Amino acid sequence: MSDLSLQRLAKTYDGHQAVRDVNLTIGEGEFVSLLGPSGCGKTTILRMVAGLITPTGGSIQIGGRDVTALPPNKRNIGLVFQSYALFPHMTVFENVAFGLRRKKERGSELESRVNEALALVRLDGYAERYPRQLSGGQQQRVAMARAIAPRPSLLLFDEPLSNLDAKLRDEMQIELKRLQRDLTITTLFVTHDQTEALSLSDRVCVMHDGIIQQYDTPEEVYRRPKTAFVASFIGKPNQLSGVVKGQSVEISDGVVLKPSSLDAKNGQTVDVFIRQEAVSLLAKGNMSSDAVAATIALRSFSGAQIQYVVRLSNGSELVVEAPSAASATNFEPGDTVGLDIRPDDMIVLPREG
Amino acid sequence: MTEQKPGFIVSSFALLVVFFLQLPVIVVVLASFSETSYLTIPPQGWTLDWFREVLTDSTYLNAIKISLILAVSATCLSLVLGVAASYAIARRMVPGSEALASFLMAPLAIPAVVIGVAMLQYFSLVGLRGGFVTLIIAHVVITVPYIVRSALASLSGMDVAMEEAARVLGADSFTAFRLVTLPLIKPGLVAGALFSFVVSMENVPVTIFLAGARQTTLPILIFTSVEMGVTPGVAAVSTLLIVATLVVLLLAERWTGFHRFV
Repeated sequence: MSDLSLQRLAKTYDGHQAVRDVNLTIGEGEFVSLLGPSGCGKTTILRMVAGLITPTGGSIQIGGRDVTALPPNKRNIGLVFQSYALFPHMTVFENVAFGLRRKKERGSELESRVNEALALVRLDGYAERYPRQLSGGQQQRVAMARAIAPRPSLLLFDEPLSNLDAKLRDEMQIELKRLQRDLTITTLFVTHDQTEALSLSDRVCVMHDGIIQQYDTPEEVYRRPKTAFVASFIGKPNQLSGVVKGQSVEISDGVVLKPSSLDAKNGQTVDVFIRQEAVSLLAKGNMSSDAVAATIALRSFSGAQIQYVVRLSNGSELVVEAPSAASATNFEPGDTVGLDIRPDDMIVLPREG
Repeated sequence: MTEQKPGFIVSSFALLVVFFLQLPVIVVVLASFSETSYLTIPPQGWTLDWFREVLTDSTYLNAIKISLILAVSATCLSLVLGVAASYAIARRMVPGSEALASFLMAPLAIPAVVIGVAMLQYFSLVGLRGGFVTLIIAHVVITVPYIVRSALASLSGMDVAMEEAARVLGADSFTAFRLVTLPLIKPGLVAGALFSFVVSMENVPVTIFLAGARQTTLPILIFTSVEMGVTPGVAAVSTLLIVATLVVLLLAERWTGFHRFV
C-alpha cells in the first residue's frame, strides 16, 4: 500500500504536448479518477505511471520511491486494460497466476492466492476455463483478478468498463467499488465517463489539453466547478452568457438571473451554467416574481424523467429535466411556464479570453 | 447469405486446369513404376525396383542427407533471424522499418539465378568459396522471406496490450516475449518454417552456383542425372521428393490451418 505522486510530469509527441507539467498526489488507499475527453492526456499519464512510455520530463514516485527510470516489471503495479488483454493461450488460473509466478510463488501458496483472487471477483469454479469461453463481464473480472493477485502497491484502470453494455457496466461499477473498498489499494482510474468517475472516486481529476483543470471531491467538481471547461463538461448544463448588473446577471432584456453568490465585477461578461435538474417548471398561475417566463418547445418522456426544451423570450433554449411522478404537473408544447432556477445551482464564471 | 456452389461448367474448367498443371507430376510418378530401363508412359509393367535401386545407391542417399541437413539448418537460422527482424519491424523499434521489411522480402522478387550469380561473386570476393557454410548462408537468404512474411502477419494480428500486460505483471521484455508473444505467433511460425524447409529442399538455381562436389543436394543430383538421360530411377527419386513435400504441406495445413499465411 502506498501513495502516488507526479511532479511536473510531461510528455511531448513530435512537438505536440500531450501532458504539460502535471503535478498530482494520490493518498494511500485513495481512489482517484482521471476524467476528460479523448486526447486530454489521461491515458498518456496512466501509461507513464505504468512505465509503458517514457516521460519527456518530471518524475513519478510510488510510495516515496522514484520509479521514473524503472521498467514496468520493477514497479509492482496492477493494470486493467480496456481490451482486458487476457492471455488467450492460458487458462483463467494461469492468467491470474502469471504475476505471482514472476514473484516466484509456487505450489500451494500460489494456488491459494489465485483462488483467493478469483473468489474476490466471484469467479470461483472458472479456473480451468479459457478466456474465449467466458462472457465479456467475466473476462473483465479475470483481468481484475489478474491485476490484484500479486498484491500491487498501485492499481491502474484504463477505461475498463467501456467495452461492456450499459447494464453490465452498472453492475461492474458496483463490483469495482466494493473490491476497492475491501482491498484499499491506491487506485488511478482513467475514464471519459463522468458518471463512472463521480460515483467511484474519492477525488476526481478533470483534465483538458494535457492540463489539470480541477482536482477535487466528486461533489465539489459537480457543484463548484472552477473553470468553464469543468462546468460545461460535468453534468449536462445549459450555458447562457450575460452581463453582471449589481447582484444579478442580465441575459437579455427582461431575462435576469439572480445567483446566490456572484464573484464578478459590475459590467463584466460572464457565462452562467444551469444544470437540467436545477430548474423547476411552474404553471402560469403560480409564478413567483423571480421566475423567468418561457414557452415549452419540446417534450420528451424517458421513464423516470421528462425532458423539456423551453424557449426564453430572447430565443435561447434551455433543456430542463423534471421528475415524471404521476402527481407532477404535465406540460405540453406551446404552454407558457415560469422557470424557477435555484440560486445555489447557478454557476457563474467570468468569460475567458 | 448462403454459399453458392459453382456451376458444372466452372467446376469442369477448374478441374481441367488442375489436371493440366499437375500432368508433369503425374507422368513422373507413373513412370517411376515402369519395368523398362527408359522413361515411358504409360508404364510397361509395375515394379518397385527403381525405388529400391535409388534407396540403396549411396550417391542418392548422400544427396538426401545433405539436402536434409541444409534445409534444417537454413530453416532454423532463418527462424531466429527472421523472427528477431520481424519483431523489430512490427514493434517499430528501428527507423525505416517499412524499407527493412521490403529489403528482407526482396529475394522473392529477384530471379533466383541472379541471386545465385550474385552470391557466387560475393563469396569469391570475401574468400568463402565452395564450402557448406556458403550454401547455408545462401539458403537463409532465400528462405528468410517466408519466415518474415508469416511472422509479420502474426505479430500485426496480435494485441500489443498482451505483451504490456505481461511486463506490468513482472515479466522482463524477453520473458514476456517467450511466454506470451511466442506462443501466440507459433502457428504462423510453424507455417513459415515448413514453407522455408520445402523451398530450401527443392532449390536448384541458387544451389547450383555454390554447391561444391561434396555438397551435391538431391535436386542438383536429379538435375545432373537428367543430363545423362532420364531413367525411371530419376523419376523414382523425384516421386519421393514430391511425396515428402506433399506430406509436409498436409501436416502444416492440419496443424496450423496455414493457408492463412501464404
